[in-house]
Amino acid sequence: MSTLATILRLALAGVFLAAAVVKIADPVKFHAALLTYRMLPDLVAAGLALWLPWFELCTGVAILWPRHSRAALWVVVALNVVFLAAIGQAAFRELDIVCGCFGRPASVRGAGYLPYLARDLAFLAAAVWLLRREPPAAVPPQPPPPRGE
Amino acid sequence: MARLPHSWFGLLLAATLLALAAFAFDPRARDLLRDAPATDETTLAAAREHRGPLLWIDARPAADFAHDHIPDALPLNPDDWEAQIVDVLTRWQPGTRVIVYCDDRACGSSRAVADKLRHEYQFDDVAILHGGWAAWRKAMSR
Repeated sequence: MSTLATILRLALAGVFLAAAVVKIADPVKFHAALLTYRMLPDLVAAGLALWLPWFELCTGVAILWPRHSRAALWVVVALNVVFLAAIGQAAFRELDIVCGCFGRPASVRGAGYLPYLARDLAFLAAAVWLLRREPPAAVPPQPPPPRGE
Repeated sequence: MARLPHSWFGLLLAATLLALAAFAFDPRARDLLRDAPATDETTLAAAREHRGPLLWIDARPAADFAHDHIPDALPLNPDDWEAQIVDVLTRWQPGTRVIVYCDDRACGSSRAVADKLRHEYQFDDVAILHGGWAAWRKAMSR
């Protein structure tokens, strides 16, 4: 594994672990941030505010666990596509949102959306690069079936 | 290397079990179902019981503030910050409790304004009104 790949893997894991810890510490605050996207009913947003931080935590750990790293990188791709869609719809609807990403709130509107979109695109690109660089382990060749007696 | 579906299932299962454990043992997680205020929020009832200087900050757009607002509130929203912060700084004194509100639970500007006052202007006692302007209107209509 190259130095760059190791750094990217550690950075992605660190980002997910840090984001998770902040949200786990104050799920009600994360719930309030989720509501600003105006995408989900209150109860669904509450469930997501409870579950998503733990999913991010497990993903952050799995990125560093070679046995599950590839699956975790696919999760990073999927989550960032969802985050981009959520921020994109908020930008399109000109909503006044709080990112809810890493604790410190920032009112996002107008051109303020661009750094958040750029950041999630960077995470997405890093995960895709790591996935392309490390193809899945080859399936070991199966022994030929025994010939008929 | 584990098969991808097995790993994904493991991740989903682990996250769900941990979330359920948090719900069972962490009172902050159970607050999600109680419409409880977050750690940086205060309720209208608590604001009314506050004894001491209190400054209401209206983080909604200027047009909404002009239409109606909490008595004695000052407008301060991210779009008109430079023009509006002067009045806030004039009125604020150390020890003043500042409560920021915007439209309702689903608006973000009150949280951003409160954060900026705390970290860039060193206001020491800043909270967000849980439920925002909608909660105030609801209380006034009773």
